[in-house]
Amino acid sequence: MVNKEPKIIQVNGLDFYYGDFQALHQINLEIKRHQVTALIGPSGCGKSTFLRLLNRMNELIAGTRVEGRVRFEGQDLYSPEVDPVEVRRRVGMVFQKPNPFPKSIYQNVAYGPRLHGMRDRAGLDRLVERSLRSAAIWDEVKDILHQPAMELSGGQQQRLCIARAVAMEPEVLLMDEPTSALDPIATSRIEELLKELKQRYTVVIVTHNMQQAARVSDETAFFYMGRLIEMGPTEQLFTKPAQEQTEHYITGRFG
Amino acid sequence: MNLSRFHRDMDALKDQVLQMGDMVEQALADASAALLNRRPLLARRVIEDDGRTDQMENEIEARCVKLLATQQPVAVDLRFIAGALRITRDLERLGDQCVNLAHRTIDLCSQEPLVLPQTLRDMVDIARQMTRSVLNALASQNTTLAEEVIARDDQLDDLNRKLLEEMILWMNQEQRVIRRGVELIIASRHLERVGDEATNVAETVVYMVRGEVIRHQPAVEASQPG
Repeated sequence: MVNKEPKIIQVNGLDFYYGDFQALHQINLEIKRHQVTALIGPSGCGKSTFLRLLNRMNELIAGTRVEGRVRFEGQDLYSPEVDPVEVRRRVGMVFQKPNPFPKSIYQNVAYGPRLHGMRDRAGLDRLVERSLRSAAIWDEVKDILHQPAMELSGGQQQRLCIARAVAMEPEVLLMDEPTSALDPIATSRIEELLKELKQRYTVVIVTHNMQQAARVSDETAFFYMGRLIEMGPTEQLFTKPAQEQTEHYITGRFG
Repeated sequence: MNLSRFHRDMDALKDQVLQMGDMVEQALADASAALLNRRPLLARRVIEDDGRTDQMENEIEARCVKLLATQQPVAVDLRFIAGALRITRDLERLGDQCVNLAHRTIDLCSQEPLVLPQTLRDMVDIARQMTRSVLNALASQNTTLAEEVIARDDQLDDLNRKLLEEMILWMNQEQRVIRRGVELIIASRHLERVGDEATNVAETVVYMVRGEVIRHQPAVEASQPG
């Protein structure tokens, strides 16, 4: 079924608390399908917290509380009947530091699908190849699939992690500073990859690198002190932001 | 990115663009005085000094390209740099119009003296005021002032047409003034172009401040046939 609705995620009146501390205030925004949305803002502004709310990762932290609504494909992500494990399959995540399992390259990619009951060997082989191709790393690893993933370079490990996320056939990929631990060449490979990935997935990326946000994203959201200050087409936000706070942040005239 | 260093570089860029503006304004003041007071030596100095304006344009361009390459500026900084590249080219052309005016002055000075028509004197005043105002608008990033400059350009265009009619009438009456008449028509054209360049700068100031492109937008009133 092809869903034509352009918004895949809709957030309304979202508040989030770590214990007594309110980390997010009244966030309202929409994530568009098959686009790369970048979340920017200074450290502690709530962008990573917000990202983790999109696949219910925050509830793994004790004492947290969510108010307001996050709808994914129209369905309330936080309603009691929703299975968080299923949410995390449909909304995958790639972290700041590459974190492959201490297993072979092949097993890293096949791990999730196997856990979900996939046993067919030929099917798994195809899925592993397709996922590694999607993450633009197949040509580099096709002859060493059974070697330890830890022997890969940092940039290769991060692409392997993307392949591992893609193997679950998610609809949305969340990325939390996916290139901050990588060198410029590995970074530019991941950035190129984002353009490919958005054809099939919706990507939400947190980045501290504003030039990266400007290069890779279609939409950019600027967070400051737990509030969404401004969101709009990336080109507009970086040439003519509507809010003075945004301008001060992106031009480095902050505080 | 070292921000305070970047902001110092931006301030230095702004200073240099304004410095170029001062040079061009001085060239226009000298070219005007040379024309109005029949001073060929002053006209010659305008021509000689123009090389400095050209060199300044190159220096500013190099500075802008370096900032773009090394700092990846965004928002107001990006608009200022993109604007500075345009403005220095427009100022350089404004300087060229002063040089052209100086050439006309030298030619006129080699001929029998004449009383300059009031229309041309008015054009000199307006061209100078527009140049002064647009440099103030640039320095203070003031769009109201910039829009006033843009609005004044029509006056200069009207005077340019008026002077053409006056000269045709004059030359019809007296054949021996034809050469000087033609020189004055060309001088008037140079002053009209000074107004065009000042208008270009004003449009860029609006872009720098508001991010709005007002250049090449359809005019509210249809322009009169020239």
